[in-house]
Amino acid sequence: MQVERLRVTQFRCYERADVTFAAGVTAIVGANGAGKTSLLEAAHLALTGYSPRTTNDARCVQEGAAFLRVEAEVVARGSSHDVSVGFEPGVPKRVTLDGKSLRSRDQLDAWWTCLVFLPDRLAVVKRAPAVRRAYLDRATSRLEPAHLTEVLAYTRALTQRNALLRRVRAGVTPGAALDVWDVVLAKHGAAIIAARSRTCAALAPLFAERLVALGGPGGSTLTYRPRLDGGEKDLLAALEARRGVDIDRAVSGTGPHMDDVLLSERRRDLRVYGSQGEQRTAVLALLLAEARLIVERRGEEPILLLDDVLSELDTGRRRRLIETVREHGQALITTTEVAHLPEPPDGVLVVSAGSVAPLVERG
Amino acid sequence: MLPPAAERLVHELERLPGVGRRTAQRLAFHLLRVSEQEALSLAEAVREVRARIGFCTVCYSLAEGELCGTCSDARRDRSQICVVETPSDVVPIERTASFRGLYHVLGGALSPIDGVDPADLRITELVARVAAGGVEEVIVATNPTMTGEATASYVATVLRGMTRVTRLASGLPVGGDLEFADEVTIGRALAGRREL
Ligand SMILES: Nc1ncnc2c1ncn2[C@@H]1O[C@H](COP(=O)(O)OP(=O)(O)OP(=O)(O)O)[C@@H](O)[C@H]1O
Ligand SMILES: [Mg+2]
Ligand SMILES: [Zn+2]
Repeated sequence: MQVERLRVTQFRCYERADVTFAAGVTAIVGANGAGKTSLLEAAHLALTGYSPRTTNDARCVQEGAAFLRVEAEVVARGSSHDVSVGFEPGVPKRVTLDGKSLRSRDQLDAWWTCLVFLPDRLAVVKRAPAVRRAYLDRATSRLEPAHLTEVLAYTRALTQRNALLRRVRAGVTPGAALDVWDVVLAKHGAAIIAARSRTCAALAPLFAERLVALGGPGGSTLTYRPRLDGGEKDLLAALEARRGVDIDRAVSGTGPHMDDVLLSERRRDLRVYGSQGEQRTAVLALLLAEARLIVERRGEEPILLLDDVLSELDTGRRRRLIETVREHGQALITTTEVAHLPEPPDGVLVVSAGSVAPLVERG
Repeated sequence: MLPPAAERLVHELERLPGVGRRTAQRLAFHLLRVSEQEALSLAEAVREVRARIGFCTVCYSLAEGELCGTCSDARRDRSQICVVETPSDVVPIERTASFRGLYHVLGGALSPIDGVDPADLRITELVARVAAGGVEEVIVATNPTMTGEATASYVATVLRGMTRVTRLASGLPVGGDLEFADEVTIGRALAGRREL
């Protein structure tokens, strides 16, 4: 897929902006606070219907303005499309594709994929297992849309079972009432474990290979660590076996809500031992691995939105990153200095104080 | 601020399911605008429904008297019982005119977070009806939601060995476009596919 044009109205620091993007790598350059991340965010909102930065869309509306609108011209599967997202606080978001209003923004996912790196995504390597689970579930849903529904169902079943555990502990309800909820939990839980392990198995070799391409030392692994591996029957048996303990603690102590993913390099857990640059490289390798997988599965490359990826990386890794990204397809990369880019990008957009303009070629 | 009597009406309307403050105000103003007769006929209808309608002593759907229309109809097939969550769930099934058996209204669905346990539903009453004999099939038509599914499997468990228990198939809505159906619906329709 390719994004050819983006129009932004009353979004963050932009009153209005209208930009065209090159195929390949476009650098978005500007000082701190100039509006680089905001431009990526606007592109993401237009392509997916949501901001990668906030769940509160009202924050994206320019201060003092009543609404925002972002529109993009996209070429996907050989044809051009116009997508537009409008938002006014207090009114449901409006997403339209080729003039037709969509029932839900999720419908855009069927058309193209957008992979984004923001500095806070480093949490995937650095922070608690919950962050990695959330990442894994997002990645899995991009490959298998039904996964998201399973995750929501599992979460609801878990809330129900935990509520019931409290009631059983308090003596309000007999323990046998847990039977049906164990069955529901095991059913959705097993589906989640199976889907997550499919994703990890597919990602692992690509992750290892991408990490080397980005300058890693090799020998890196991505391993799914389910708290409890197995199918519906195994999960059900485990829930039944734990019932006594779970009632005492009034919380479900096993299942995919306790899974983790281990990322390692040279046999060492990147979370514990990785340097800043190594952790950053790993998150980028994960993103590029996913991009590869999406090309394989869906036959079309996703667009990459990379915010502030170059900092903390040495010149060797920067060069390799840009080379790998360029090989892949279209990417928008923000940076404070063009000089941080190891080779000239295919296009440069200069951002300052809420306005964007293509860099005029010298000479 | 509204005069106290109007405020009280708004407050009462606001307690209805699905009605927020603004809708309640709109309804109240509407009732003040229409003729006195029209407004009072609503009040009268509420009074009458409360005075005359109760629950059927057999199936717990709405009844004017001891038995509901279905239970008192001798032509209905007594060997089939369709289990639903609420009395209003009977209406769409009756509209199909393709079910000729009797009903059993559970009065809700299992939901620990809302404090609804098996004992809060009319499940013992259902077991008693089946135990009394003559029931060949219990069709569980609880909603295809998580609480509805959990309730369905609970009902199936307690009736196991007593009679045949079936679950309403869920699939694609007729006239619905495959393109616009969500993956859950399509997945369910696939799982419940039949030989052609
Ligand atoms: N809703 C809004 N209305 C107006 N301005 C906003 C709004 N939200 C953020 N801003 C401002 O937009 C400006 C650009 O922010 P942005 O995050 O895009 O900068 P940036 O170029 O990515 O900077 P950095 O290099 O520091 O990451 C900031 O000054 C910010 O305060
Ligand atoms: Mg920024
Ligand atoms: Zn009845």
